[in-house]
Amino acid sequence: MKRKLLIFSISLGLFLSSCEKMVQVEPKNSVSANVALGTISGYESLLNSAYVRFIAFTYYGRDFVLLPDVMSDNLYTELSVANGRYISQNSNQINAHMNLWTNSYLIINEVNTILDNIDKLTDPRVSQIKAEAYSLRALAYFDLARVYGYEPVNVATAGAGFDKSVPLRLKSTAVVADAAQSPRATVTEVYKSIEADLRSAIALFGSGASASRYRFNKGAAYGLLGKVYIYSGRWAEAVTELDNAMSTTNTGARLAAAGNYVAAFKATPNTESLLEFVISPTAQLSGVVGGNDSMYSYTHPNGYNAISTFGGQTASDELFALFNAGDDRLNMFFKFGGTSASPAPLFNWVDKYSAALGVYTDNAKVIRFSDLLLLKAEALAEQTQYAAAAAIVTQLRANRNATGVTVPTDINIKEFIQTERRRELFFEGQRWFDLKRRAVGISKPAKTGVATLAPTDFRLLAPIPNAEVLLGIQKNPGY
Amino acid sequence: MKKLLQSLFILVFFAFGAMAQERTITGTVTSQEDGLPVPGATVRVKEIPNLGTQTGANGKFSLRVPANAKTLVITFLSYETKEFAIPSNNVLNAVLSSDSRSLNEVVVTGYGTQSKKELTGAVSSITGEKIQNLPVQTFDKAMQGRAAGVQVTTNSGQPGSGISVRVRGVGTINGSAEPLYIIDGVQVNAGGLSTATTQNVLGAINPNDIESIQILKDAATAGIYGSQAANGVVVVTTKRGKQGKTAVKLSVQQGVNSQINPYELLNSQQYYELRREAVVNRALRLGNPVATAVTNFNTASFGSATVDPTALTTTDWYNEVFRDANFGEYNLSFSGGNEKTKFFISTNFNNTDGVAIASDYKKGGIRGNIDNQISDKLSLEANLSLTYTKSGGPSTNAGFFTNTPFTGALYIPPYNTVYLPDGSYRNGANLRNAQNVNIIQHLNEELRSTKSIQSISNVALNYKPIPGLTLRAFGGIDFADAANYNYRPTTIPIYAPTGGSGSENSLRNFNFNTSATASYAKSINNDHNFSVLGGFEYRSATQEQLGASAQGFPSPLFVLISSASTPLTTTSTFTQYKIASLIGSLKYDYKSKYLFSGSLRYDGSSRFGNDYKFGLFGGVSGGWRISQEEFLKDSKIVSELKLRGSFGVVGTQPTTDFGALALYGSPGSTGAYNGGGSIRPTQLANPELTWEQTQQTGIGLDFGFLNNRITGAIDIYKKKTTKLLLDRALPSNSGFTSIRENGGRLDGKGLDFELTTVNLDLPNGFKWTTTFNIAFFKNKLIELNNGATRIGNTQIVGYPTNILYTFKYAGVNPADGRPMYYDKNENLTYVPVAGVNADDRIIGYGNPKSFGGFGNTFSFKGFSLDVLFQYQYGNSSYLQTAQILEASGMSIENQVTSQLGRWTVPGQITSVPRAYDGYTEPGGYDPTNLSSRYIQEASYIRLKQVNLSYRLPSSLVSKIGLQGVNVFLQGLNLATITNYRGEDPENTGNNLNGYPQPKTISGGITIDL
Repeated sequence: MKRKLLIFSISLGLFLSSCEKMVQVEPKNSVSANVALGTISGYESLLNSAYVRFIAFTYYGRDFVLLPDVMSDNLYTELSVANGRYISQNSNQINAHMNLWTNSYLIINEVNTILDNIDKLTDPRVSQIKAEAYSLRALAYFDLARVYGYEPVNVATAGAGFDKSVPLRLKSTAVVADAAQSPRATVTEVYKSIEADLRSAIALFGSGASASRYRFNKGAAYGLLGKVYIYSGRWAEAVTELDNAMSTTNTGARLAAAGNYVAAFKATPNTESLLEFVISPTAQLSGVVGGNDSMYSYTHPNGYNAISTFGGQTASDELFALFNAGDDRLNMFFKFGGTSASPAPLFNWVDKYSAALGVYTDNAKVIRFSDLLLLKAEALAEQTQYAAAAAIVTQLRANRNATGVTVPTDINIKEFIQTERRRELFFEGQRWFDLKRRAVGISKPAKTGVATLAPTDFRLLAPIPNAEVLLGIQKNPGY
Repeated sequence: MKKLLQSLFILVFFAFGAMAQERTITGTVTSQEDGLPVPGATVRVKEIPNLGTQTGANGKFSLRVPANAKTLVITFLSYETKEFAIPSNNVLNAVLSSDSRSLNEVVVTGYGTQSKKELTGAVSSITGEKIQNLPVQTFDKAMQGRAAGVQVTTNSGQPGSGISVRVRGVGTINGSAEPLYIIDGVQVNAGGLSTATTQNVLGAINPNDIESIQILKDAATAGIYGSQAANGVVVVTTKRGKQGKTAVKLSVQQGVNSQINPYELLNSQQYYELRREAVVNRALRLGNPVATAVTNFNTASFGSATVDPTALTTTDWYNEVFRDANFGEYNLSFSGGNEKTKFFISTNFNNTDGVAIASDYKKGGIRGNIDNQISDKLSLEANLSLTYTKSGGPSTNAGFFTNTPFTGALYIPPYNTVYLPDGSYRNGANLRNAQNVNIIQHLNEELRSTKSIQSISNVALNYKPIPGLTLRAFGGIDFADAANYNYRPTTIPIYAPTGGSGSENSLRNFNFNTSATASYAKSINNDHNFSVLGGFEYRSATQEQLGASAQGFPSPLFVLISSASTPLTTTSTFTQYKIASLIGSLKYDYKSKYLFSGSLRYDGSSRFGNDYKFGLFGGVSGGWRISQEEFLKDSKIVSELKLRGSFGVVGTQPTTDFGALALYGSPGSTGAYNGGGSIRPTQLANPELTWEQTQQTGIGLDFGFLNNRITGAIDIYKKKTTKLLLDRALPSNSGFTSIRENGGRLDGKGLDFELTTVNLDLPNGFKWTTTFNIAFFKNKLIELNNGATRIGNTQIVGYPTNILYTFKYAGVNPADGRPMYYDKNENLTYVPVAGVNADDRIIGYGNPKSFGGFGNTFSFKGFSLDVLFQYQYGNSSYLQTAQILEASGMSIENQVTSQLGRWTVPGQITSVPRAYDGYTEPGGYDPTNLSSRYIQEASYIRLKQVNLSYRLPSSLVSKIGLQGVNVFLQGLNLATITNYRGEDPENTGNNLNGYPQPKTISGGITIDL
């Protein structure tokens, strides 16, 4: 009996331990962290994931490029044909805003994972990957910071001292405990981190003269740093870094020659792009093949070129009135009805995202030469170097065949530069931020019926997502 | 084989050799109701239970019995078992009467069978004949209204689509609420097979092949299925052959499905009036010139500056989507066998067109169920089936998709005709305000189909080495291979820019379960009856998919993706889970009076985290058959009375197979950057993830009065689910938004009641039977994980689950026609604010307070009339379709005529706001956003089924050489009483683009050859 019991318990024990194995299944579509981060190609793939998140529809894939113009004065959403798109943002309704939060932090966690772990490998590609990771983190934080908080240059004025920016996470989330809530850092802290990341990146990047402009490169990192200094009111440093950015040793981007403004936007990459995110039909498809949500679709009338769209985002009358005849940039506009060439009313449409290479394939121009040029002019003007600033603007206007107007060489150049930025950078995601950082209020197209938003209006900051507020993140004032 | 036969013969000879004197009894067994012969009835000698035979197709039998035999027992399914003294003339003509609520019924529970008399748990049964010839494609629909506490909801009218089944309410939040389906012992992965349209896995079983469906409702009975049993278990048993002459049965049914469309849409003149008013109101409000606004509106919507509304024609696009659709169902079966081998072979074909154009369902299947007695100790059972199904149909994904039939049709203003005068589809600039989709063309020209091959089959060997002991080895598979196909040709304008697109997806489910069990039954002095069972079971369920899509087809004539110029995406997925279990059960009764039963299961699952890999489940139940006690035994009033009580613990598994692991995934080609592939962290590990645990306690009373003319059961129960599968929100700035964990508690309680009464049973053969069932259920969320008090607005601690939460609509301000809402202080506001402690609130609940069915059967001399009602009470539902249709002309979509009652003049009392183009007035709120205006109670009572059948007199039928002929006429969903404004009160929840259930009328004939 005893023996029987023994045999029974042994066999039961064996049975149970084999049970353990019987109920193990390894996934095939996914791998564990150790496997993923064991090879350099794992890090390259992780970096690609961060890039591809930048072209999400909510980010450079569309909203972050169009909404800054929708929410300010360059764009009027033509109600009758907009299919509901951007109607509430165009009239600045509460909570109708840019929403980058979740997507940006996915990017940040991915680049943090790279930066936390990649030093375990020795491979010649490590420094380039790290440089790009630092740069992408800087760009993600810069965009978050200007959507959800005030800038160093206006915290005290428009912000009335509200100096909360976004949570600053510089370590990856590997286990649940790492996910614990992190409060909002101050504007100063976030901008300091952005600056440090860009400095690290610049030190790691190789020469930018012939680097791919579809990925972060030395020139683009300098350009972003220059822009960060503009937002910080650090004018002299801005000039230095913008010069570095535009130097031929750091980038292959050049100002387009006169007569080539429109053509440059149909080239890939744009002659003037220091950094351009590639938008491929496959990456943006997500299963939708019909009428789609691309930038082309939003900015072109339905049926134009026989392509179905959700068009409704037109140039505001105020924007169109800024140009004189002969200006190359006027060629970027075309007149068309809501769905057909006639009859009236016809609207002014913008052909910056022209689908020249296919419906989804208008790349996002993240850092463009003329943007940097005008920022440099602005930095000079802020340092009262009006003539030097005017010379830059005059140079740019010559390349656009924009003649017949005298560029002021006194303090009026400051306002002239901003208007030139509108003429140059409309529909490129700049206008809202230019108005916001300069604390001059957000002017609106007359047709929207919305009055100018004061620089202190609470709607200048985007609402913090409710889920985050519930988990303890401080709300923005007014919401 | 011969040897076996020999030994069998010797055994029989040995057993009966002592009995020298024998005689032969002959006779006929007939049914009391219609006087027809009863084939297949078992005739046994009471004194020698092993000795018996079965009646032939003509109801006749012949049995050699020893001289000392005195009584014959005649039994037949759904008839009362009767004993007859053997007459001296050796001829017995027995009449059986049908058992109104057969307490002798055998119930399949878990790994064995049990007579209903001895049952101590709560089990609902549906016999196969109740659902015979029902024009449904899947048997789960047939359970509707027929079992107390089992709520069956048909969400879609697409033939062969999935449905939802809730046994004793909802006891989970994120886990699956569907019961476990077991078909002839095979654990089936119920769900959908289609990625292109919809197809229900359970379509693999032909409803006409079903002998019975049992629904195990209480945790003690279901406990033997452990971590998969928290939502109840549906046990389906298919028909088996019976000894005797081969019975051939042919049934043919033809019918028509027609639309139920509740919407009365605007005509073009009404549409123009409403839209123009909206545009004018907006211009006035914004201070814009009215004339310009009207001109712009005319130009944008009609293509000319001035419009003569009287010249517009009207097309009801919603109705254009529908048609009257034919269906046919054909069944042929053969059953029979001898004492060694029995078989049931059937084939079936179903051809059903959907009421929406371009939707159809075709299914063909065969089944062979075979029993063979290999030797006196060894027997074999095999159930083999193969089904081919082809479903074609539009996407019925719920949501505001322009290219889906029901939403798409609602978009289109009525002044657009479907076709241009030249016969081509209206499109492009000619199709105005219609989101660029001519939905009729889209439905006709887009190809969507799923073709699947399925088999749910099993083989079992039973070995009985000594009396009472059975060793059983069982293996079963649930296999499905589905080819999904979608093609969007360039002839549909929105697909022209990409050159047309196509996708193909191949899905394979391979599930199997095997078990080895030993059971032993022993009776001591006929007083103490024991049976025990123990065993091991292993289950594996795998799903793999392989798919690709492409764009750029050379011409619409080339429809396979290999002919496209641009390959787009490839997908391949693998998911699998495994369960290994030890099972055991014990039953004991004393004189069939005091009953006890217990079950145990030790489950390990790959879905559980490493820290909780195995769990123990099970339950105990007991019963007291009071009617067997001396003081009631001879009662004329009480014929059956049994008190039951049960307690059990069961589980629900995590819904995802790899939910406990830390994962890096690849988004594939859609996540590539500039051609470079990417990977990303997708999930944090939770090694503590495990099952939800449900405790259920119940007591019940089975009763039968007046010689079982009134029978029924009442059950009350309490459920407590702990360790709920819940998501804990993580700060999204961590790069993760949530992690799934176990926590919280959800309680439920309910009452199930069923009653069957024989109201009339006249000597002339007229019989009227009524069945009624009702179930009440209520749950309450007691606690959430991590101290949370709510999940969004749908689950709040202290309230039932499935909350409908939004603003309370206060109607229209008579002064200015603007919509008003109640704020949190019950004051009126134009702009309600959502949020914590804000104006939104609980408006209703999605779970019904009660539901059930009510049926009547009248039979008279071969005629039989069945009328079944089904009802549900107390649940509310969103009316998402109404958010488009009831928008008082604020948007370009067509509207229902109730919107003509919009506010127009000060002082007018109406609930429809004034028309305002673009929805939102300055300083206002979009009245088409969700509010209580778009929530309604969806209680209903529906005439689910009417079936009139006539069995031709056998005297007539036999003249043409047939055994029996039955003709029938039936209707489904014939009438519904409800206040609900949506398509179908059954299709609640997220119901935009819902495919309404059709009304069905059919006729058929069943012939026994």
